[in-house]
Amino acid sequence: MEIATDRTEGAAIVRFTGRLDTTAAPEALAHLEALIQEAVPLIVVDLTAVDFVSSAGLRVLLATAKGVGSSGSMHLFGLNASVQEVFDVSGFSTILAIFEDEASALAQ
Amino acid sequence: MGASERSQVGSDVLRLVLAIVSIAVVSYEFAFVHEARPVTSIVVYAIDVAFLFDIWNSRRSPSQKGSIEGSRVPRLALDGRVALGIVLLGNLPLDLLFWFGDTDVRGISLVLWVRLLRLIRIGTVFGALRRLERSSGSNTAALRIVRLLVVVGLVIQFTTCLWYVMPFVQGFPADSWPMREGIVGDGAAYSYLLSLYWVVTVFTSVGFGDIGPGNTAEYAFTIFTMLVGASLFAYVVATGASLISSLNLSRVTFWNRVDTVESYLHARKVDRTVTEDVRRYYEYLWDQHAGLQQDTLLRDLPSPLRLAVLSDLLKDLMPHVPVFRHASPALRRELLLALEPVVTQPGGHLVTDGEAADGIYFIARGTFEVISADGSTIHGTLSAGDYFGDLTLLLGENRTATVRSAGFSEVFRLRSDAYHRIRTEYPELRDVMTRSSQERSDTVNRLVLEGVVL
Repeated sequence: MEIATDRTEGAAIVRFTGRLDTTAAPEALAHLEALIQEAVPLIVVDLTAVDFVSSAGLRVLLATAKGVGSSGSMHLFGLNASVQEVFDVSGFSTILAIFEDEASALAQ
Repeated sequence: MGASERSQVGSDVLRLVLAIVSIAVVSYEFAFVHEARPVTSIVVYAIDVAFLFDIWNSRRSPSQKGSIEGSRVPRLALDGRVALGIVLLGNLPLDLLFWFGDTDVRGISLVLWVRLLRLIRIGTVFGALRRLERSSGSNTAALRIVRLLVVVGLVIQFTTCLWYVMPFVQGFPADSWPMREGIVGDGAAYSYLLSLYWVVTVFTSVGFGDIGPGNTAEYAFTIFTMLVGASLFAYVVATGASLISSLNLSRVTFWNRVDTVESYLHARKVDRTVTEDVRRYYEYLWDQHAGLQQDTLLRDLPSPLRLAVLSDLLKDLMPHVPVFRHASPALRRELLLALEPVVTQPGGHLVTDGEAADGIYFIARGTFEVISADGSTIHGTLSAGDYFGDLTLLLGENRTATVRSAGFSEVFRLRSDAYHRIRTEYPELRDVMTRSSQERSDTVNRLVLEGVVL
């Protein structure tokens, strides 16, 4: 799992590459928690290059959404079809903010 | 019961009533009136017309079951023509041939002697009863009572007629019972009443003795009547006992089976608490499902029939399962056929920690606790309307908790292979699941945060 972060004004774009599974989850969570500590107003997670999200990966995303609370927000984009289905069917797509692309994720 | 079946039942009831009326009228008039009266003759001929129409109608459309003819042929196992001949003999108004130029034979009009052929309709009575019992469904017991009453009534009627007509054809000897009772020349109705009174006192073993035999023939007939009465009594008692036991037949069969299971568990020294759990499960099955296991019940039915039965059986549970509410009729049909009803007993594990995903579980009734493998931690509860198993199914992971039933619960399981098949055939399933997920409690989402995946 590779993690890269781009920063723009008022937002941090975290780009994951690879599988967001049990092995990668601790690193991903640590990275996102650091941004929450920094009180970044908007965390945008780019999942374009993520081909698999396990339950551990879901937990990371849910924990981050919970962590930013009402003071900030977390937006996701770039979900592939299978990941999108997991989010839809499980109901996470209604509690996580999911966008079509980077521009719309940043624009909101 | 369909419309054609209802009309079939109606026809059989009509046949039964008309045949009994004609038998009663013919035998009464023969034994007590001795001459053909216009009013009763009109009744007899009207019934003849009805039966002849029935025979004609059944021959016109042979596929129609339940004609008086159709009931007799297989029963008597006679050649079709012979059977038809017998039926016609019992229904054609042959006595009309003797109406003009009528003579008495032993003091009874020849017309009435010929009219006795109508007694062949006893076959029609039992044929109609047999068909009614076959098509009655749950009213079999009621029809067995009807059969009992018909048999008893006919035997009493014939014995009553014989008891009076016997001294009549002998010219009322001085020692015959009507002479000793002084009823000769009294009205037919009064003679019938006294004769009936005697028959009933003998049949019921009451035997007041105020009317009794006075000559050899009457003594012989009295012995015959007592024997018939004893047999009839035995028949009534046996039928009554059988009826009472059959009223509870399903209950008795079910609990006998439970007793057998318990005996087996006891013999194999299975733990007592397990045996008690088994007993409680059967009690629940009896209370909630009349002792029937749905999957066993439905296995032999063809799909359309299984679907119809399932829809009706589950109509109370379906509203509690969101996926049913949001599915289109076509998808609902597919789900109904694919979902497996599962009943869990109190404390029973619906799924266990470490298990591979085998499907999605929709809770229709009852409450479940999500617990750790050792049972020491309760992560949350799931209740009617909730479902789980979708995450492990989609992610291909093993479950990380156990789901334990708090009481008796009812769940529908959609197996993994069925989910993937229906998901391919009905793309709307994904939307249905998405909409359903919005209605379930947030327990499942919270559990994910705690590292629990079901």
